[in-house]
Amino acid sequence: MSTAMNRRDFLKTAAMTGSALAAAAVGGSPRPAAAAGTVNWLAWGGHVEPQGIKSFFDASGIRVNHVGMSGNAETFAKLKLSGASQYDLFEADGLWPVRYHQEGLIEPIQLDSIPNVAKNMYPEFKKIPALQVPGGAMLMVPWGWNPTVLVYNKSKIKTPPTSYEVLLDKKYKGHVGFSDQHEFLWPVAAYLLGYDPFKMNKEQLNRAKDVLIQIKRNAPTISKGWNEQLRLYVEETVWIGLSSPGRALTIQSSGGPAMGWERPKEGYVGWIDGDMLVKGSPNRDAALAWLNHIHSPEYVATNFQRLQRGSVNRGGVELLKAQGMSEMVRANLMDQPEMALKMRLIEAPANQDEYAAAWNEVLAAS
Amino acid sequence: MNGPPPGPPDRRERALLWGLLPVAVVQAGLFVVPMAIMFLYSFWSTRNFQIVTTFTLDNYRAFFESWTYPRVLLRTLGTALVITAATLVLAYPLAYFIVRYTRRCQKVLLAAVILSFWTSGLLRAYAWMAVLGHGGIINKGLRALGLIDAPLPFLLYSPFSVVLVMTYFSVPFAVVAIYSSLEKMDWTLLDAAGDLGARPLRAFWHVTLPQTMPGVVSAAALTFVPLVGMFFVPLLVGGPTSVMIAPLIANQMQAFQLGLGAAMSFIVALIVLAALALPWRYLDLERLER
Repeated sequence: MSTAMNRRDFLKTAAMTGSALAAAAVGGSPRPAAAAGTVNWLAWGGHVEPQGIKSFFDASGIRVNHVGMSGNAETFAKLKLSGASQYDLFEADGLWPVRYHQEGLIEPIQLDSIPNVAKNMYPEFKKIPALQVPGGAMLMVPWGWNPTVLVYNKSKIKTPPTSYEVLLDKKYKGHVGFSDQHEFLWPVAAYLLGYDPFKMNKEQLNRAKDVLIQIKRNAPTISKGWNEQLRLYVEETVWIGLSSPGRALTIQSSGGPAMGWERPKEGYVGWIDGDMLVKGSPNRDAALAWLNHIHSPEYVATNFQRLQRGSVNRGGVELLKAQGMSEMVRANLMDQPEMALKMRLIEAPANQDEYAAAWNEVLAAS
Repeated sequence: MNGPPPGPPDRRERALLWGLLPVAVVQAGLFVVPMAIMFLYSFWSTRNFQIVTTFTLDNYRAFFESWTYPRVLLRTLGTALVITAATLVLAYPLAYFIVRYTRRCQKVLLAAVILSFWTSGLLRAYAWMAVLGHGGIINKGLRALGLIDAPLPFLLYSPFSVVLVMTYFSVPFAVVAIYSSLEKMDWTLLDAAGDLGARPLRAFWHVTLPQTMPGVVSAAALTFVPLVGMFFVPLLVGGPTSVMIAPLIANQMQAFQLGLGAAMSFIVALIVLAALALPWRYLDLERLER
């Protein structure tokens, strides 16, 4: 048998391969079929417990397709441009759900209609005024929360820092954490200058930009994501930066130095994240069933043991304590839900374009 | 009018044109159309996550109105030039050695050079971070030997690390390009130059280098062009005050500043095209190849 391939055979094979790849690509899209029993979930990777997805499928026959999401602004831009109909549930932080609601992309949810939420969620998170609509429904089902505070290496910084000014101190040059998460950096400059973090005008943004450039000059790099930040803290490249209280413990337990954390006197922001139901979702019931599943104490305990942050779920927190993880619960303020409502929640600025342009200039500056 | 009017293409020419069709389709689909879309977007703006399709030059004005963005672009071009030069300096002797002195295991050595392509670039960049970082092998080793008290700050997140890691990424491309030129070279000319009294360095300068110039130019282009658009290496190993243009463009796109992002991309694309055109304009490569 000849193994030589003529041009016709080659073209035929190439066409077949192309068709197969195209079919595979279509099959790999978030919605493989319009069949009932599927939930298309656009969510942060950290919220996904593969075992939880499997046990949910085993119990209900509903398949959960997880699609990873990135930042709030990027996701908002994507969904506003292309619509949210390819998903049933997606996530956001802080007051971003308000923007999605204004765009008519989401359906508010009566939290007590989801049994595990009704039973397990701290009452404080069921009625967050800024996220509630008339009638009591919430724009999102809260999941986790965290304040963004100063975390520092206790062996390098002997006096606990109480002000963001420490980030500008030249004696820490090369050791200040500076991430690409501008939502958490603008508030630093704004609080130092006495401005509202999410309502700065162009002139205020210009001044805030200069402050952030100064902080950037004190940093060894612009870190991308928590894993890189963790490495920088553990190997003691970074001594001080912004993070959540529980992460001080994570750094230590990852082999890093003893870490402390302080609330800056100027004020601080934080986030509560959660899931939103897409308006008109054809898989609404399946999506609500999945929300019920992830708010079970078992799913929450598994996820937050790994995530290390504040949880809105009392049932999960109690389970973690029962499993002997009280120190972790305390370090992450999991048993202090009232703290979450004292934070200024991050939100989408009305002049988002000016914020984006200013941030780009911060990045570009020498 | 001079000469006969052009007649209908004969069968051979038609076959040739049909043969070029797939190339034309690929070029149009993967290069011309995206460039045209980008060009169009560069004259549009975005407001509050919406594309405003009113013609404007604001994006180009925003790029040039302050020194911030042109400085990043110049820094990127300067860094790319330095890395291209470093790559050629390293790749040429290596390719020369492989062609001239390793006849028997030439293919094995060449395979060894391109072996690094088998691993993800991202993974290799992370590996360099593990080597150069404060807790990396070099700093730990020097500390263990008592040669330093604190980690060397320039090893990572500095122009040094950007040049080092990007040179590492570029060398295999350059070696392959120069190798192909050296392999075709007529080595008897070198012997003739020697017989006529030329010293090795002079023979290299007047015989070897001109003959392999097409390979050097290809290697320079293969190195310089990807470097200008390199995204993840400067992002991972670069310092906070030496950002390069590609991560900045990516940031514009992520923040839905599509107009400015497209204008920046188009300016970079024009520079890259000019960089590619220059060697062909000023070097008579066809003569060199003869």
